[in-house]
Amino acid sequence: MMKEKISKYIDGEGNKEELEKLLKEDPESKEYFEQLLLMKSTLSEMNVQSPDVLNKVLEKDKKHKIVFRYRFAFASLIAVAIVSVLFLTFYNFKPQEKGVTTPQLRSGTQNPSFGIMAVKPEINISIGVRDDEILLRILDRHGTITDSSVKGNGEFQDELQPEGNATQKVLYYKIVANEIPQLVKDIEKIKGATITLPEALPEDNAEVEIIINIYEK
Amino acid sequence: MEEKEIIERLKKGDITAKECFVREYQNLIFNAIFQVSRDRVITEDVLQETFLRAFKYIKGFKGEANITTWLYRIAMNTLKDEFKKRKAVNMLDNSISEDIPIEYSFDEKKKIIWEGLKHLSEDEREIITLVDIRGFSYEETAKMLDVLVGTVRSRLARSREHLRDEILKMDFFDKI
Repeated sequence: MMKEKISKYIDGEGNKEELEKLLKEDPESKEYFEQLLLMKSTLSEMNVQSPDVLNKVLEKDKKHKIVFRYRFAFASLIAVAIVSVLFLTFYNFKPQEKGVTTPQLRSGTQNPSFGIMAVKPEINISIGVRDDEILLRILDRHGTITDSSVKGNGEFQDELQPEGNATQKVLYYKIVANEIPQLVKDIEKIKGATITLPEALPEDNAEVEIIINIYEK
Repeated sequence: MEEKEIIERLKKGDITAKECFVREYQNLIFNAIFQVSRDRVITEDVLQETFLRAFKYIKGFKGEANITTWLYRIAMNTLKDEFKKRKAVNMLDNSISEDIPIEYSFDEKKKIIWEGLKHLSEDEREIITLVDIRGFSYEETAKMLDVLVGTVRSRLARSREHLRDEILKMDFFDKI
């Protein structure tokens, strides 16, 4: 307690008279106070000069924009292809089913669709990414990851602050399958994807929809 | 250019605003990252990535927090991501490795402090960096770390005591 008071005092906080009395009467406190002062004074001189990163930052910023344009074009092509394939598939093979206009997909029980799949938030996601690293990049495109941790047994937890005013989300998930090879022939070309999350996570065991667009390197 | 104007122009992607922004904050953010990572190469990479993320997310900055606080948080998240990435490929453990060289520009006193800081946890180094090295107030530090002012006071006192014990072992106070 005494040490905390002294620590506060060197920052100009706390009861001045009480501390001055303490320092006068207790040599140990006085020594501690002087040591902290000296330490603080040395620390205040420990700033180092930053290298000038301006040009590198602006150069990278420019590259990102160009890459984004190409990726957007590629994603659009993929999206058109996916919609076409889905349309042809269901038009040709499921015209007899009444009352089903959209395929109902569930994680782990049926194959995921190319673009949209339903998953449980706890989560056994078959989201079609190779590993946590890619998922992090996906989430990062959607907002800012404020905290990440590995829970073990292949489970992960990420806190995501989405862009705009959306509420912060805590995502628990487990990578259980790699769906990418089923979607794209050359897995090495997959770099990441964008992911659209719902505004709020539903109750336990409820389903959420995640929309994924895959990008090429 | 005023800070408010810089932010507004950044939201529109103005290149001059980006230049001003980087020049204004690179030294501050570099030091904040460097004292925690203790590695110039990592620090420079993280610094660049921090600004790129800031440009990307600036549209979502509503001004509730101070821009320095906002940027500092991005920097620390980016640093965490970097540690995680490196750890995943066994390039770096989260703890500080023994063979990281002492910052070359430091005199003897600073070298002892630098050595002492090595024995502190990342949280302890972070708070000492913010208050004692960068000179932020308790209130500003509390906002940056998203904790209460009282937590800053107690955590800082403990961190200082820890550092003082470490440098005491290295005869810091006898060399003055």
